[in-house]
Amino acid sequence: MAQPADVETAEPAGPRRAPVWLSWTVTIVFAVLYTYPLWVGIGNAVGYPQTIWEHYHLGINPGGWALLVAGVLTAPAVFGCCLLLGRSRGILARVLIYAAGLCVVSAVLASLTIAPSFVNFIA
Amino acid sequence: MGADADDEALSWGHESDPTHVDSAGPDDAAAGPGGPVLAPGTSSAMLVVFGVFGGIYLLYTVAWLITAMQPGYTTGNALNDLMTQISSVLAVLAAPAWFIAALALTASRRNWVRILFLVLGIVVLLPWGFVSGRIW
Repeated sequence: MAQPADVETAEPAGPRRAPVWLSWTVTIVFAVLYTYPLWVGIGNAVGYPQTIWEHYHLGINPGGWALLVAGVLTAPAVFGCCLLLGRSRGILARVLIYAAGLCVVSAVLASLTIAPSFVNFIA
Repeated sequence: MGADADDEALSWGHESDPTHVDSAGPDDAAAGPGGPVLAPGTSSAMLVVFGVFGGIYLLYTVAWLITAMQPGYTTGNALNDLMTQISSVLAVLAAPAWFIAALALTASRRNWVRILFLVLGIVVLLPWGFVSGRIW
């Protein structure tokens, strides 16, 4: 974990260092992009139980709730990991980390969306 | 006259020719195979390991691509459907993105840390839809 910081400090600090406003802009833009999978997760967590109740008058079992909550937490958890991994790195490395994280969130949510087809959600 | 011009065109010229440039090739070759050719810090074994991981991530990418190409349900809302399409594309890109990021960002770390990140990606990005056989 300490190695990249060493690399950063070994380089001349001035011209290679991204300005603070650029770092913040990148972080905020990606934070906005991460809100979509968060919104989808919340929508599923609210919508699935309602749909199941309207169609079958049944509830969601604990395993189902665990998956729905995981769907809500995936985007903020991955974004938090990206923030930690991007500390003391250059701006390009941060962009790469945020972009890869966004792709990972999409893949994980796609897997969670498929889960009801082989996991019994209904209590 | 024509024959002379051809001979000149087909010759290598003389070493005293001012346009003559010595090649550095033979000196490099003299260093022997496996010496200076490899990038510093990366052993042959690690290159093989990275190659194996690259193959696995390539298979993951194909599996996610097959998953994304399945006809999904549409909500009727153009914006929702567009965002779903974009999410599918991002899911396909997840495996190569993780592989590139893991290799690029851990270049100065120990080998076991690099392998750990690559194994973590294989676990996280498992294409459940393809593996479970629900999408084909």
